[in-house]
Amino acid sequence: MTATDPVRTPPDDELEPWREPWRTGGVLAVLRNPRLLWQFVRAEGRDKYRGTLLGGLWAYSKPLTRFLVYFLVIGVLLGLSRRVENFPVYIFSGVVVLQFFTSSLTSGTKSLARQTSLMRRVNVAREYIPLSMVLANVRRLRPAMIILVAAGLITGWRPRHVAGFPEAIAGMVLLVVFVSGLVMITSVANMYVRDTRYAVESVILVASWASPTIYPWNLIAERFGEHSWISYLYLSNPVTVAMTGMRAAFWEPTVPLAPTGAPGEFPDDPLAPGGVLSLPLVPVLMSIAVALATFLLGVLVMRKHQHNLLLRTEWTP
Amino acid sequence: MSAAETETVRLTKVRKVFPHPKIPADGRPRLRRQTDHSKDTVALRAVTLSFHAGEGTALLGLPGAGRSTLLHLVTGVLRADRGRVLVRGRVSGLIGSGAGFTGDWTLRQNVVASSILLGESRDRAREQADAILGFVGMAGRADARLRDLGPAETKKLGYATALHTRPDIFLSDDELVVGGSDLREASLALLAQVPASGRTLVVTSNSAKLLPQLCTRGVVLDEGRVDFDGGLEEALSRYRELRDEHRSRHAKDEEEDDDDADRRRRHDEDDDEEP
Repeated sequence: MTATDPVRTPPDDELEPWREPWRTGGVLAVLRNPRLLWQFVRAEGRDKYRGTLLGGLWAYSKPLTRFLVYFLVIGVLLGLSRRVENFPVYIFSGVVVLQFFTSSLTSGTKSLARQTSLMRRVNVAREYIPLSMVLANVRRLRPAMIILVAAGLITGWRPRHVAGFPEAIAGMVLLVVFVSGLVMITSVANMYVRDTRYAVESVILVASWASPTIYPWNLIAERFGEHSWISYLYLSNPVTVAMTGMRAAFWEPTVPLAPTGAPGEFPDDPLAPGGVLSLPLVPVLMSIAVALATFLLGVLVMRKHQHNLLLRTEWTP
Repeated sequence: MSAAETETVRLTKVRKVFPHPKIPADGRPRLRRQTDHSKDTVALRAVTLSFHAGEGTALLGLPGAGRSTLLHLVTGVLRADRGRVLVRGRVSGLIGSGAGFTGDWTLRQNVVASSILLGESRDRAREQADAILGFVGMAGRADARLRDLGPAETKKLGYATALHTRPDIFLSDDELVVGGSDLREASLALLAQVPASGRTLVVTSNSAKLLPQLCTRGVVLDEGRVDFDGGLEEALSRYRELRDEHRSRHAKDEEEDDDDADRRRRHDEDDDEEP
């Protein structure tokens, strides 16, 4: 009998098979019982702004402020908006993705250490804990997405412009897989060495500049050469791919650029329409491989270590 | 039904060791692997035991005998270092620090998650949560956080959840001796239903008052070994022997060791048949 079986057999009716209680089934158990995962996600998302005057409105304040700061300082002050058409939407579609990545990674890394009491109380697959943090952050994208759509509507995006949506969704799915793998690794590492979360914060700072959030990605190609390994490394970052997808959906319909360059090649002007597809194919495939490999590694790390985690706390029954 | 058919929990030569020090005194983790195992805490040494459906079993023993560790192995929160733990059916219970998943969640979220974990659908789990919270008179506080509940209320909620979700194997830690008298009566009634309805009950307690209402069998653990396994009455008297032995041993060096005095004090509180 699996945990999802709706019809329960009475204990003395039919003999159930023996099982070892510590075997929780890992990631497969999470996939088999999405209801419990969803319960984790919901519980995580609620009452964040409990007791505040403005309540849920605060969820909008952070992305909006971030957007305004980037726009004013980098766009107006440093003059990048002269280089990129409709710079506010360009930058914000990147900021949304980056924000998701950084908050998932920071909260995910801390998640297991925060939930040791849960691990003592109930025997569920430990994977629920970091994975639900990532999904809770997907849910928290909503305010930022609303601001993005609003900014798009002002600058020329219309609801009929859905051609880029598949790329945006595919890019985000890729990023979710990637960051899920990462947090399964970092949250376990954080149980062994609590320095991990601080190291991750530094890495995130670097990562936010290693993706085309506030500058166009052809800067890298111009500086290091289109087919240099640095360009490939840069472009195979799932964060970059997700940002490009998001821009294909919300930014490209608002700019009057004609496509340049052959498909599958580095375009002359990388800011031309085409989204992920306008990225060279090889880095896109590499980023898929990177995301899947990270996820797989995360699964293996969790599987190997999940029954040592409680021994890393000061608890003895 | 034969004994093999009613067997729901089976431990075979189970050993569990807690490495020392898990966290060094200065709190800084060591990268080098620890090689000195002389200070490890051996919680269980080669324990072989079975529990059966329709039977209430009391686990007796001094603090540190390994009773809690044993229950944590049966829930699967801990994994045995050696030997094998097998269960048949859904395991639930009240162990250690309390009911539910985590104090950060609301009462309702905790109860809903407990039901979903035992295989209920979301809607069914929500209905059950309403019923459970109503039953314990906490419907109005469903959105309070679990950690804001008092210990007695937490236990009450835990027992109510366990009753409604009907696990096949119910485990309970020392908790049943805590709480006001009406709570105690209510919890006892709920617990007594477990073996009566053909399910498995395992309780760790040393209470000569409460155990006869729940259990027919007693297992005494001592320093990680099964010291006695048989009828409850004999088990209780064997436990008293062990306790007195322990006390007289420690009366001698009372002044020397504060830690031991602490342990004994806790142990005395634990024991409600004191005059």
